[in-house]
Amino acid sequence: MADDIAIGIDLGTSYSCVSIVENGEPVVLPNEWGEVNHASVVSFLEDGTVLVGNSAKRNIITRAETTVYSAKRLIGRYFFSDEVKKAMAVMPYRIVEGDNNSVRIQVRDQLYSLPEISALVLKEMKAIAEQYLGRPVNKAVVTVPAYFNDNQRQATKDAGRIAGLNVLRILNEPTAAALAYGFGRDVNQRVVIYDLGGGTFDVSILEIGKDVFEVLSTAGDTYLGGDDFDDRIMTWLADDFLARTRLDLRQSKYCLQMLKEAAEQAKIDVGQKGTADVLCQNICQDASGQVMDLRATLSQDQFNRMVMDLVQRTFKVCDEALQSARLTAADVDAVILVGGPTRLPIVQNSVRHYFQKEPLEGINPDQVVAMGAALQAHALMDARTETFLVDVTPLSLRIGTVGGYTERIIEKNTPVPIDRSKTFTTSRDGQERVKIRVYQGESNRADECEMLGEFEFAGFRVGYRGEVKIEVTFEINTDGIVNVSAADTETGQKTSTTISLSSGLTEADIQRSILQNRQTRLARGMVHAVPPGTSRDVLPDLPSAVEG
Amino acid sequence: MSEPPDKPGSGAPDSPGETPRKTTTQPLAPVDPSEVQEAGFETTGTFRDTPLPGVPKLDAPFPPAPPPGPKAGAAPPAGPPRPAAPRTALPRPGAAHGQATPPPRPGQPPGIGAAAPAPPPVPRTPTREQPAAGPPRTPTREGPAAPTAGTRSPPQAPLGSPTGEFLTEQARASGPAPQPGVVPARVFRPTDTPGKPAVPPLPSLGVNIAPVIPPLAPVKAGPPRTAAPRVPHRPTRDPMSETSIGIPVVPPLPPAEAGGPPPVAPVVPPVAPAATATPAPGDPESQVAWKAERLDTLDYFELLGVPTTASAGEVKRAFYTESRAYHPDRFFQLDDEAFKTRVHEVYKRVTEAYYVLRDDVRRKKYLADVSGPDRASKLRFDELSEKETIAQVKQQAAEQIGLNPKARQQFQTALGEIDRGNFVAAERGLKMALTYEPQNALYKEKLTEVQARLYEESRGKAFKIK
Repeated sequence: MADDIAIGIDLGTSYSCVSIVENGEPVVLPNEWGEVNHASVVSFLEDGTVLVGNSAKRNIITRAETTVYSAKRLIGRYFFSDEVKKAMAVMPYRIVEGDNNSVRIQVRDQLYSLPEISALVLKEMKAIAEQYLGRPVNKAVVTVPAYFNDNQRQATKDAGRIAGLNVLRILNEPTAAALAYGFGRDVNQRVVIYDLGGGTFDVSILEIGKDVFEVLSTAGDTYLGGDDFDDRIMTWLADDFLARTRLDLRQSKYCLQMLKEAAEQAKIDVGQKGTADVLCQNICQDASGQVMDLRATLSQDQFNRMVMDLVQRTFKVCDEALQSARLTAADVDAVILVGGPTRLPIVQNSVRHYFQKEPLEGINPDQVVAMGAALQAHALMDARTETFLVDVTPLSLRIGTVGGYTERIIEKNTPVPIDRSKTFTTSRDGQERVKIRVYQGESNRADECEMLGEFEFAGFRVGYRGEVKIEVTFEINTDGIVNVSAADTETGQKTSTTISLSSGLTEADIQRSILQNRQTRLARGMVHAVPPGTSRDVLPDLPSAVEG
Repeated sequence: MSEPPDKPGSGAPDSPGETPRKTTTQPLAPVDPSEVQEAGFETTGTFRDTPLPGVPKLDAPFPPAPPPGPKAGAAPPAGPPRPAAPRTALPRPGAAHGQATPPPRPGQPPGIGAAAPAPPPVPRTPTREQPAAGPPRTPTREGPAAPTAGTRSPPQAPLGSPTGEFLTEQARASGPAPQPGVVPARVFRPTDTPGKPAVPPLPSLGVNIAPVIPPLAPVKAGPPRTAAPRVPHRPTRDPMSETSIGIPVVPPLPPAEAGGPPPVAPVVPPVAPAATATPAPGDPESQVAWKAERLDTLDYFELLGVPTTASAGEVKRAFYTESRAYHPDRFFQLDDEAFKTRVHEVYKRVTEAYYVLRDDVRRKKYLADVSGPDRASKLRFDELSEKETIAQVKQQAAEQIGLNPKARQQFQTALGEIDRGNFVAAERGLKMALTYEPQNALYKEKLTEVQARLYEESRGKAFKIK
């Protein structure tokens, strides 16, 4: 029985949650300080230990270079992607390029891959669960945004392995939320999950038929989230400050962090109280050495105007999802809001207006995903629980063709698991291997899609060109992860498959990371937080941005 | 470029016997030019725009990042859980394209062959010529075949106008009632067959199962759906299975729409006694084994256990029922990997069936495919590629009224003149239309028609004068 438990982990951009099922009910687990939302922040301390969670979040400012946050924005991405470029501009930690266009984080002189960073967050979640249960845990269901592509899912799964977890399932966050809502409720409904998280936006439309949860369609935007709301406030604060003092706060990463924290708080305050007072003491000093404070007041109206276009963008995504499901907003029976930013009145009002429906009450938008993950983990472990999730693939699967184009193999919103075969032939006499590139995306141009990898097949019969037929099977499994295999059509001989280009980690890398992760000690407690005031002597010196 | 991309299917080299000594662009070329032309034409707008706004969005105080686009360079094998094999370098990476058409690009996979969507030797059913139980069966199967074909053609009519909303609405209205149509499919399980061991555990997911299946599948391309797959296993009960299976697959009542379950319900009784003969209807293992064996001989309707006339609501309910039975999560905690692989295999086909049947357009095409003569090769839906779909739409438009607006206008006027009986004017109009579009078959056809009428008229006149 010892290994008969599996936890559900919501690995979020800004906050993570861990949950288990106790007596048939999902419970979100607190850490030793009673916190249930744990910041997805990893702070590498001088003594070699690693601090994860809300206490690490305090280090974002004080130990900016060694504290990594929002790693989920970078996981499974290529170094040349826009998101990585954007992160390099604003993140205080060092982002460097690794092998194969991969992204690495440099902390002191140590390089970490993104799965390794996420694995530390998962390790913390695992530790919280183990402490709560008083026994080891090694199985988990981990959630990802529905719109994650194969690279990102694969990387998340790797992170789980590195953290010593057997990842039973990579579950889509909206699907998890729907599961938490519909589990054991015996409903027959069409529900919309509006999931506005810290870094991503997802919308999924599900049809719940008792114990079958069928995703009709999903759509999303991996570049839209609560952070973008903060960005708007930051821009406004910085512009305001610039106009008044001619100092550009954006030139210092330290000031940016102060700004970010202030903006986040302002966003929350505006949502709760209708107005927010921003006060950043000692944010910087000017050329003459005078220390400045940042003060501002943000009203609800101002805020709404700042972020209106972002909110509008979410409904474009909703349009897309409804269209794919061939439904209209009126066909929807219930709307479930997921993610912290959905607490904002502007979001709630807009959702109400768009769907002409009151969003469901009584659902904790921060925890519902973790609860769904726990329920799924429980269902997988327990033969008696019967819930069946039928998810879809969020992106079309494509193969590269000549001239930088792609051809679609599996359409988006196809239910998974699914496989599809395509026959290829050789183009030269005596050809011994065939290569294909696999992409995900909605464009027929290869450079507008995300490349998943290059597969090389060998070991088939050698013959004249055009004679040898190789049947390549593309499979998307229940995790939404793509597998490719090939066989000689005539002989049925399975060919060998090599991935010659990929963004992922090699098996050797993972094994090494697992060891390293096991040796890393998690720092407990807030003792490591630097006492306030110590960092004051490193106040940045801002050059005057505008001269006379 | 070098060939007109008129025929979308011409990509496959049709004659394998011909030794490709000539340096013509046979294998690759037919795919390339159309690909390039079609796609290039469509996306020029976005293609030009994207590089500009994408990159410099941020005020970049950072060193210029490498240009987007995957670098094709030295890449050690990566990607952990995928099957990895020692990588060997390609002998001549760039030499794949001896053709003149496209200059080989550095990042392009050199070995990629022309995708052959429908090659003459069909991959799924390569060696179906099994002597096993073929000869005696064929005549019996010919019998029910006729009514099958007869009843299958009208299903479009009772389907009504199944728009997505309407049907799913229906599905909800009727709720998750147990789908009786499914029962026969699974209950009809010859557990006594040596079939189960005959299917060795598949080495991996998603691999061609064809070589495993042939001994069990003496289905020839010709005769359409019957109880064919079951026959070889239960020779003694042949007539019985003929009748009992014949009913669920082709319900004799065409108005299957009238109510969800009724048309399917009468199916259950005849099968139930048979089920008592074949043991253990509740045992999931044998259920899966039974279905896994027949995976390549069942069409999607049989797989989901619905009649070809089933409404979208029925399809959905059947899919839910099948999901409850074959969802891999149901067997997640089992240790038998081979069995789990088989479940996966079955369930993948179930989702595939649902994917095809829930969409009216795909379903229509599929129904036509499996009702046709080469049913055996079309049991799995072969989706047209985007390129082919576009070509098809264009061709249809061209066939109907023409592509050139002026030609279309002339043609319409000519049609009006024909209605008015003014054939001389109609001939003139059609000839004008043909000058704009000399290839249009419809115009030509109309023109010959009109000219025939004119000829008749002139003869009539001549006769009168006499």
